[in-house]
Formats: sequence, structure tokens, C-alpha cells
Amino acid sequence: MKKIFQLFLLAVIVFLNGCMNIDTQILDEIQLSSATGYDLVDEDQYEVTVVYPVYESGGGVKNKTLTTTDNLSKEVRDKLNLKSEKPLVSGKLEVALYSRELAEKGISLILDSLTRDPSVGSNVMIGVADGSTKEILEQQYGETDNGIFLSDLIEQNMEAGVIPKTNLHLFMYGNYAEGLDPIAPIIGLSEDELTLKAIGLFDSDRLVGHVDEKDFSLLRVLMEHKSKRDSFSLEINDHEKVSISSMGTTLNYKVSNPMEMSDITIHLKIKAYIREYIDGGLKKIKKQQIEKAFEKDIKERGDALVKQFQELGIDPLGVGEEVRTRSRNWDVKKWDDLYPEISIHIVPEVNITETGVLE
Amino acid sequence: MVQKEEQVSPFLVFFLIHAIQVGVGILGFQRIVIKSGGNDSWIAVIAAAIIVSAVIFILYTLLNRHQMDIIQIQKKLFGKYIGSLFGLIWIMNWILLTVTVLSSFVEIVEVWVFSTINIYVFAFIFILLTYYCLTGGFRVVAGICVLGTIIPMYLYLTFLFPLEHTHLRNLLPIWNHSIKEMGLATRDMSLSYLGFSSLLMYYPYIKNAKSSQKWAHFGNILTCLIYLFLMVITIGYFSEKQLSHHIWATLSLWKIVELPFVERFEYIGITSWVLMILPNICLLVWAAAEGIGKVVNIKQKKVLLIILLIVYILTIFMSGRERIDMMNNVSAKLGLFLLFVYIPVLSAYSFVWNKLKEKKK
Repeated sequence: MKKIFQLFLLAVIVFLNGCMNIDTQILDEIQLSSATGYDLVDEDQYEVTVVYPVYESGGGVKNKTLTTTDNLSKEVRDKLNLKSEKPLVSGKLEVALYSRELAEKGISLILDSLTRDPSVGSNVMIGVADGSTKEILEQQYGETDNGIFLSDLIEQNMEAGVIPKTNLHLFMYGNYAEGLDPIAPIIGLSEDELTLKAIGLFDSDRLVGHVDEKDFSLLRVLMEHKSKRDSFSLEINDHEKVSISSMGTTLNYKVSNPMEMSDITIHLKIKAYIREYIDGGLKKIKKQQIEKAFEKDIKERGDALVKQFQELGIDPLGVGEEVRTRSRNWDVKKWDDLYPEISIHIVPEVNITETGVLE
Repeated sequence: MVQKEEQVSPFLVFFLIHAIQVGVGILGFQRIVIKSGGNDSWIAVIAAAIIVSAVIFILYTLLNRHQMDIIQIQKKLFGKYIGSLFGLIWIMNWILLTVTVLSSFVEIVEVWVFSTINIYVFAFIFILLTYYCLTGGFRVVAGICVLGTIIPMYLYLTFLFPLEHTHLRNLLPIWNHSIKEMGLATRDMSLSYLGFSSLLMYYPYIKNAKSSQKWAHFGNILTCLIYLFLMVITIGYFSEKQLSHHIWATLSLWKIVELPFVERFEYIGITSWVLMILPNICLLVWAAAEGIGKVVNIKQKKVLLIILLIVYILTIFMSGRERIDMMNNVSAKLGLFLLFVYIPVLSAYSFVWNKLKEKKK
């Protein structure tokens, strides 16, 4: 009797599962948006563009976009659904783009809809569009889905050691951190080709400046404590051109008196190998001379970069975090006053260990 | 006296203690502790574990002295009526904890996974499942605790994914908070260890109960290590202000996990978490039912149905962030008071009482 009752109980439990009123989302019956773009129309009206892939019978992918304007981004989804034959869901979102004007005004309010939504991951790429995001998203790039294309573009460059690591989580981390400011890549169209044009520098959530292509790898090694595959190139004595690639960099901060007006030194050690060396003819490689030349160049450019950050009052390198974790009397306000005035030096040390397969 | 065949081995106390300490609290304890402890919160995790170990020691000295459960002890020390009244407070505490756990979990499912889920049916299924387990008696409950500890263990591995974006230097500088702040953090942290008071009820169900004390401490240490692991990763992964916005920091950690076959890991994680919630609810309801059975002489099965009905109604009623928060507060305060104030006092009283008794002889 007891056994039968228990079996009955189990059966009830199993069958009741069907009555939980769970939303099923069948892949064929929804539109998975893969990228969104936000443009500023006026004061508090956004124009939102959503891209979703349409898989064709031949195996190709066609990108479709929907655009609408509103002042709340989830409201926008309802409005967009008015134009779509299948419900739009954001679970597969890969990239969120913001136009430059919007980024300059501040994007934390819009980012809220991404971080609050449990279906959006932390790996979403945040990018700033040079120009209108609608224009970028409406283009067809190759055979793939636009969202995946964009996120691959950024991710590939992150992994290849061209730009610093960035995603939604790291952006929010920098946005909230007291001694660190976030960055995001600036993407733009040039002659119908999508390019990573610059790296946008943010003051909390407002875009205030950018770093150009020539300083990408320098910014990367200065931001990340350990990184690999960063490349530098240089022209020595007019005709000798050298390019090196790092096998590993380490960053060490020397802060003698944290929270005081004393110098901060950043020791940057680069272990590298020579990728390319053109000097017009075969000659014995003057390793030391090349090392010295690189050290000089990195120091000059690095100091200029830090100067630029200090003038803008931003801290993408996280110097503030270094000071905060070293001092017991950390005070954000005091640090913000101190930071633009403090002198920060970069002391690079380049060590060329390999020269490729040629001598 | 409990029948021999209804008793369980002493080492199972390891699972009984650990399974009930880890429940829904682990999904979001970081934010509350970091509010006062900041980057030193990991110290609070250890401090709370030490205090809990001390309380477990007191519980065992009390229980070893009398060799019976808390309801009988109170009846013996305070007389039938007052003792029963105090017993009811414990029972209320356990029921309240059950409701807190269940409604918090229902909330998580609603917010993170299925926003339109019918909570009446969901809670009902859970209650039925609990009833199904409890009809098997205490041995089944202990078995559920073992499974609920071992099966979800693989989940902790997924917390290694966030390591890629973890800044461990956030732990520095060590000890830059005042003693008062650390005290507050430790108090908030000890809430995540609550629930082990059910030991007061299942003590007579353990073979050689005296020898099980070391297992209870080991269970507590395992809980401490898991909390410590999560706390260190959380401190490194989030910046302090960022964390203050995340109600369920542990679940937010999962947002970075990307596996080739699943885009959002939370769905798998939260579903697996049912296995951690079930032992909690089973053991707490079992303790409450056993307690009522000892206060008044009714058949345990009838009591069980009544308790589950109460739990069901309260769970349905207690939905929404504010109500759950309020209930969390009440059950936390009651639990803290009972374990960290009342139990030491009771233990001291019983010691004196015993001494006087011996003298009379």
C-alpha cells in the first residue's frame, strides 16, 4: 500500500511539471538578435538598430535590421517586435555599439539594460561606432552574421595581441572601480570595410579621448600585467627597419609613498624576438643597439601617453588601483586631485632573446 | 529511545552539517558581507567559521550531557509547559528557515530563468517532493544530504572560468578595516552558516553520537573552504562598487562562462542547484515535524502534512524582493539569537543544574 502511494506521488510530481507554465522558446520561432546599435537622435531619444541573421536554404546567412526610436531600450524591443514576424530575444547578443555622440554623453544608463538582463552574458563586446551605428550594422560583411563578424573582429585582435582585453564585464568593472577607467574599441567604416580605428578612452562612462593605432600595443602592455604577442616596430637610422614581437611582458609598479606627491615608476620588461629586420643588406644584427632604440622609443611614447591620460583626468592603466592596493589611507577624492599632478615614469627594458630562423 | 535501525553512521553528520549550511545563501552572500568588510571579507568568512565551530562544540557538550534532543532537554530543565513553549520557538525557527530557503529559490528561478513560471505549481511540486522524501524517515533525509553534497560538486569547477578576469591584487591591502567593521561582516557572514541547529533534533538518530563531533567540524570546514573560494574570486572579479549592484554575485559570476554547447551556464547551474536546496528543505521540515511530535504526542505523518501546508502557504505569500528581504532579516535575527546567545546560556544553565542534582544525591 505504501509503495503504491509513493509511486502515485512520484507520478504526480512528474506530471505536474507540465503545468508550470514555462515559456518555451523554439529556435525556429524566434529571432535571435546578434548585435544592437544605439544612435542619438536628440536629447533623450535613441535610435536603436537590431541585427538578426536569417538563415537561407542554400546555407548562406542574410542579415536583417530593424530600427526604431524611443527613450528606453526595453521599450524599444516592444516597438521592434511590432515590425518583426517572430519575437526578438537578446540571449545571443554578441556586440553592442554606441555612436560617438552618445558615448560622449555617457552610456551607463543604456548599459543598465544589458547588465540587468539575466539573458545577456558578460562576454558581450562593447564598441563605439565612428559614425552611425545603423550604417555599420546594415552592411553585409562576408557570408556571416553581422554580430558574429563584429565580435570576431574585436576578439581576434584581442587574442592576437593588438588591442587590450575588453568586454561588458571589464567595462562595468572599470566604470565602477575607483582607480581605473574603462576603454572600448572604436569601429568605423572606411571605404566599405570595417576597421578598428582607435581605442576609445572613457572617464567612467563618458568617451573623452582615444588612442591611435600606432600606440595600440603599447597601451595593451601597459594595461595588462602580463601579456603576450604584442608587436612593436621601429625605424633606426633612416634605413634600418625592425619589428619585434613580445614573448612575454611583465609590469611592475614602484610606488615609494602611496597617496603622497611622490614619483611613480612603471617598470616594463619585454622579452621579445625579432620578426622582421630590413637594413638594405645582410649585416650582423646589432642586438644591443636595437634594444636601446626600442627602449628609448617606448619610453618616449609611453610618457606621452601617460601625459595625455593625466591631462584628460582619466586612468585606463589603473595607476589608481595600484596605489589603492598599496596604501591604507586610500581616499578617492584626494587621489583624483593628486593624479593629474603626480609624475609617472615608464622605464622599459627590452630583451631580445631570439632572432627568428635567420641570424 | 530511537530504534537502532533508524540510526545513521556518525560520519554522515559531515554531510548533514555541510548540506544544510550551503543553500540559497551561497548564491548571494558576498554583497552583504562586502558592504562592511570590503576587500577583507575573506577574513570574515574564516572568523565566522571559527565561531560556528565553537557553537558546534557547545551544542555537542550540551547534547552529550543529556543524550536527548533539544525539546526533551528543555522539558527536563524548565518543566513541561515552559519547556514546550521554548520548543515551539525552535520549531518556528526551522519553519521560517524553510520558507526563506524555498521562497528565495523560487525568486531566483523567476528572475534568472523562467520569468513567467507559475510559482504555485512550482512550490507545490517542491513540497510534494519533500513529502515523498520524508515518508522514508530520517535515513532517507541523510541520504539526500549526501547526494545533495556530492552531485553538485562539479559546479564549483565552473567558478574557475572567471579567473581569467580576476584581479587578485584587489585583496590588498590586507586588514584595512576596523575591528567594528570586521565584527559586522562576521555577523553577516555567519548567517550563511545557519541551519546546523537541526543537529539539536537529529542527535539521537546518530549511532555513537559522541564520536560524530569531529565530522560535524569537518563539515563546517568544508563549507568554510567553499565560501572562501567563492569570496576570493568575487573580490577579484568585481570592483567593490560594482558588486554592490549584484544581488546574486555567485550567479553573476556564471555570466562569463561560455561553453561550446551552452551559451548561458546559469540555466544549468540553477537547475542543478535544486539538488542543494532539497536537502535543506527536507532536513529543516523533518526537524520541525520531529519537534512537534515531541512537544505534543501526535503521529508524525499528520504533523508533516500540516507543516508542509504552512510552508506552502507562506512561500506563496512571501514573494517579491522586499518581502523576501524582510523575512530573511527576521529568520536571520532569530537564528542568530537562538544559536549564539540562547544556546550558550542554556548550556551553562544545564551544567549548573546537573551539578546541583549531583549534590542533592
